[in-house]
Amino acid sequence: MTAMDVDPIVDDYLKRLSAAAAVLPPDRREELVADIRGHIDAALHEQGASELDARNVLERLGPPEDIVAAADDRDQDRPATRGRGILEIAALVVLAAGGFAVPIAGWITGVVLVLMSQAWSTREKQIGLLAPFLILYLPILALVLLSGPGMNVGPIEALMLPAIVGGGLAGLVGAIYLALRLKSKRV
Amino acid sequence: MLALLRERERYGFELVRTLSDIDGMVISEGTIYPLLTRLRGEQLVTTFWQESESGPPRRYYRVTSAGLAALDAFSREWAQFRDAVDRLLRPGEHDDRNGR
Repeated sequence: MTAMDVDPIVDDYLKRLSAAAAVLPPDRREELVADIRGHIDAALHEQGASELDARNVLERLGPPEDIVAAADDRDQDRPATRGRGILEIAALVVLAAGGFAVPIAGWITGVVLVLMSQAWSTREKQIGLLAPFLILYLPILALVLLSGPGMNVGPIEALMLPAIVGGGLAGLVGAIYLALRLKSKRV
Repeated sequence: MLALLRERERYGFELVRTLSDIDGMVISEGTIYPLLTRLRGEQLVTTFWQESESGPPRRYYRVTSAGLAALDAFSREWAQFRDAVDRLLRPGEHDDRNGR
């Protein structure tokens, strides 16, 4: 039994499992790791504990990430327990209009509010915040920089203008996307 | 799983391997443990620890009376489903033979 603790393959597997299980509530994580450790212990005890045996046992168990995914039922809980609250509405309003009302700072405030909310998944936040910024802000920045000499603007204006226009538009587009995602969860 | 536990209580590794050997569709044996935890959460099984003669203590699973009731209900539904599918398939087989 102590052999398994020094067995680097098993150790590595359990570390991967434990890391992947960080998304679970602490008691569920502890139980899952203990269950899998017990399974490996029993398997090696009954079938032999060579490196090949260990590899076979881990192979049959499957990737730690798959096991954690099977244990993770938060996705099913989320739509039922989390809805549209004051935070979400404030986040959307500030994100949509903040960039126009107070350039840059308004948009950043909206972003922070969205990140604070748990109504959207990490993926939705990435799409809603990052994608419009990259699609709108960067091209406008590039446009201004390229045509800078002709437009006769200084370097500070060259950076500020796309931030005001692009940041405002990016916030508006992102807010529309996030609002639609929120709406689809309520149905 | 409940059917396996109806015969007798089993410990995790034994249960997982038996299930995995019967059902060739279990790809990742590890995913059975979260399922067992869920069954325990629904109080269809209980667990207890027991020393083994050799080796580490084992966590045993035992089906509860609620678990037996759920198994019974499922068995009846499954039998109905199976009969319905059989009725659908048998005329098909018959026609097939006549067709040849």
